[in-house]
Amino acid sequence: MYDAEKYRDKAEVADWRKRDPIDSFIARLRGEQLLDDGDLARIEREVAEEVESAVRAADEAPLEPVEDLARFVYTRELP
Amino acid sequence: MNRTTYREAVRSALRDALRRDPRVFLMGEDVGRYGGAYACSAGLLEEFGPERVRDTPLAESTFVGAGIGAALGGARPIVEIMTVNFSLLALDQIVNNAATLRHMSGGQLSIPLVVRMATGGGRQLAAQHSHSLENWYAHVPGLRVLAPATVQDARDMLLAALQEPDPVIVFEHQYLYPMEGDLDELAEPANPWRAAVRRAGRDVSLIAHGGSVPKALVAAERLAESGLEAEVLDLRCLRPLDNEAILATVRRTHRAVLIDEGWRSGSLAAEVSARIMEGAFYELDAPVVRVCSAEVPIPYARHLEEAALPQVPQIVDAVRAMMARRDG
Repeated sequence: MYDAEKYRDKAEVADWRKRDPIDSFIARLRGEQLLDDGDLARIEREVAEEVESAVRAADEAPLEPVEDLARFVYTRELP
Repeated sequence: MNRTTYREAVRSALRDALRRDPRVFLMGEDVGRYGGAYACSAGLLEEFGPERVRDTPLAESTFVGAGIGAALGGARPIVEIMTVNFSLLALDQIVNNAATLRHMSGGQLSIPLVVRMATGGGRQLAAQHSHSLENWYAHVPGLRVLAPATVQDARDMLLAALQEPDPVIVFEHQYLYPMEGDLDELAEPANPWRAAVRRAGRDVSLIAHGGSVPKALVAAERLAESGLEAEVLDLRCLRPLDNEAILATVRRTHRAVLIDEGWRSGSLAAEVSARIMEGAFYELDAPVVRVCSAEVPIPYARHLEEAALPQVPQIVDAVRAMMARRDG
């Protein structure tokens, strides 16, 4: 499943990218002196590390055993 | 006769239907510009234009309702719902309107509506896109339900559904779309409302529909290697069920293994089993056995999805265990 981009032209998407809320938020925080380059670099590094570590943990974890197929269908066995 | 895929066979039927009858139009999510979630309608928007190949909003109840209205008004709509899971959003329209209006109006209204939907698992699309809920629709008077399991039926059944004055639900198993097979566009279509013996055998009947038919055929080949001849009955039409064909195969083989990708509880296989009990109990040499999906939401992880769905080894094992019974 992916977006084959058959509904909107690329210019429209590019235009919306200019209004990316994360970029806008960063610009505003900078404007109000609440964030400097050092803070931003640190946040980006911490987030990247957290994501990489989660991906690594998922890749390295064993597959869920087939015996657990029905686990979590219900919260508990009926008495 | 040419070699093609199930997907191409669906497209061939859609194209012919749109060419033959100006009342026919196709509507659904992504059917136009995207070419269909499973690429069944690729190229049709370009050939027939946006009046007849209509992209809809993600609003199943609304566009199925619009299809019912169009059918009432004399059109021949083909409504595509991306998967049977999403069709639940349109259950009210299908069950409370499409299936009832003929009867409630004392025969004054007619709903020649065709609803196509993908069903089944096996493609790692997880629990909200992989279920087999054919039996929900096969339960409802007023609907007819078809499940093409071959390339030829993928075309013939859709064209036959369009000839019906009443609503027809067509289930296309998502695992079958890339399957190759022979297609004869000029052949006289087989009666779509009857089951078909896909492989003759004398020892046991494997009764299946849709995506389970190719699995049953592979299982039959494996069993043949050890001298067991399995007959494979493709149900084809799920409402009405072809009672005669079900009882006839049981009378020939005296054993039945039912393969159904639905969950066993309340399954279509349960209905087939009950009909065998009612109509051929004294023909049986062993209790009927069902091979169904595990009673879990179909998982995303490949190894768990494979474990949840009926597979060839389970069918083979079920037959061997049945043949080994000493009380049979």
